[in-house]
Amino acid sequence: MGRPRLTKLYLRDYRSYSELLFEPASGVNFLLGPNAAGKTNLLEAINYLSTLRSPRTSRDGDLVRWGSGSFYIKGQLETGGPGSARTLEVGYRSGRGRALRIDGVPVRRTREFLGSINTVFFSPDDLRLIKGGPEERRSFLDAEIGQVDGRYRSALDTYSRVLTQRNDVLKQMRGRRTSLASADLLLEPWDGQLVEAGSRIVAGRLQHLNPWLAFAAETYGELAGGSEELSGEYLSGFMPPYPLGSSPGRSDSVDREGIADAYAKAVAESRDEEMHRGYTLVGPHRDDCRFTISGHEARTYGSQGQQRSVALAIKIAEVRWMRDVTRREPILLLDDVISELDGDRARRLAALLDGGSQTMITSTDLDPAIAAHPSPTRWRVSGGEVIRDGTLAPG
Amino acid sequence: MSSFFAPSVAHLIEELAKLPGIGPKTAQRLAMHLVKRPEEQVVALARAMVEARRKVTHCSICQNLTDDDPCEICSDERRDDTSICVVSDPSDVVAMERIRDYRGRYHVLHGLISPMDGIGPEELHVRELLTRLRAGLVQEVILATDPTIEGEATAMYLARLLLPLGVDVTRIARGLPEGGDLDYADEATLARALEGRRSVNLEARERRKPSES
Repeated sequence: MGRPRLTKLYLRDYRSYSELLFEPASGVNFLLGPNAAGKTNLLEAINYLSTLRSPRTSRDGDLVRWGSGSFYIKGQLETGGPGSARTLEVGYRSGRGRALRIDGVPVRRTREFLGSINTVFFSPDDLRLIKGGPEERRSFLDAEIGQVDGRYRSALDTYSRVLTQRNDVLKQMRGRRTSLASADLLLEPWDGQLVEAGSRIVAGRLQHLNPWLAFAAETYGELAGGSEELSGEYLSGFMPPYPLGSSPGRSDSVDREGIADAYAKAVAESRDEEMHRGYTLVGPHRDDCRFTISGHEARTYGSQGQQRSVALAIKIAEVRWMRDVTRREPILLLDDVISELDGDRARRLAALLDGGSQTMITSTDLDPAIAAHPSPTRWRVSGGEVIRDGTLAPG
Repeated sequence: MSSFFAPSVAHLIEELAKLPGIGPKTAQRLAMHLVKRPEEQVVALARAMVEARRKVTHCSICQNLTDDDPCEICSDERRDDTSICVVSDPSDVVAMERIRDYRGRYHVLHGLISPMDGIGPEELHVRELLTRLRAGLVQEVILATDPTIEGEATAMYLARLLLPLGVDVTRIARGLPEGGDLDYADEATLARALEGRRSVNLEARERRKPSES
């Protein structure tokens, strides 16, 4: 299995960094430093190269260093084997947007840039996957599945554009007396494409979530000691709740045509209501996921500890799922998560580090649960610099 | 910025900057270039612009841009009256003509449906197309709009409108470019090409065989 690793990260005017060159080692890298030293920013920048989005904000402008009008990220990758180096560049200028390059060649579309590097980002905010709203879960799923599945990315692009166009048609109809015949004529050109792209998105989510949730249930069982059971459902506005991960192997048989038929039917049925409201009411842009612990919804009935375990199980399972799909080890980014966990959960997470993935861990101090790890490379993060630290004593 | 220029130059920059794809910087560069040219060159350019604008008009039949109405293609009696190829822009007619394979007529919509840009079907030259079809000569309408979301929506719209009229409506194929590399194609294109696959036509080869041997 391939073990791609980041050999160089260069940042300019990104968050707290005016300029930085960081050359992480293979294996485990500890990034130590006080709060607000810029540790998370470093992980966020690496994650950005794999998803073109920040887990912390949806506005690229927020990533620009204060007082500057642009940011620049350059990452150099080694994917294994001679001649496998690859350079990724992202430039952003406020008012102009983003420019992307792979190996110096401009890349016009986002979806062509994604997929060169895969990361899994662990953060204390992961709890929002359980406690947050549907929008947060969707945008997480889209970013993660989008990392590994090019057709999914192109379906997302198409869908969002069709949705904008279609909503504009509906908005213009709203408040006007439009006959059903002329409404059909104006909406149908978009309906077909909406159903096409939308059903591909839903099928993609089910196909990826099935193995992912099966792994998560397994991991949760280990974390919770086997007495509790984690399960998940995909909730769509046009299908009955769809149980995820319950039977491994079913992932290959997601019925895309059945999904498309159900979606087309729902679009036809909600036409009146949509014309009244002026926007699209059914589709993957409104869908959600529900996680339950032994039959009780985790979001409402789970204790803080259970919710934390579910979030962690989902993230740990993500690593396994991503490895399976891409046949590569993703780069692991652990942002101050270990210190938040109790002994068992911390140990389960630390076990991930034995997989040989390149890993970046931030912490304010060296945690005993991870300090035991053989041959970690340590870095001091402070004052906008990242310095290799050979003298730091563990513990 | 332009206020530091002489008023006449500032005015020129302002006018140039209204053109599509011309930002303030480019407008400035073009203006500086123009005022340095010999006068007769600039007059020639201005005259060409005015003349084109005055002379060019939409062909009353196909809506393509033309100096003489009807346009050259619409007045060409050797062309096939039973087929109309619908495109979004005059430049698409030029592209189609370059292949020299198509001998039918054209219809230019002057745009694609795009609600977010305020372009609905009424903004396009659809009514003129319907009028042409009512004459009854046309048997096939080829929808040759771009393979984009808007091009596809426009084609779907026209298909719904035209099919009840009893003409054959066809859509140009989508897929891989000629001479393209399979592993460089993006997923969406490749998926389309796979969907639109055709069985290999051996009959055509067999028919050719005797003449080859």
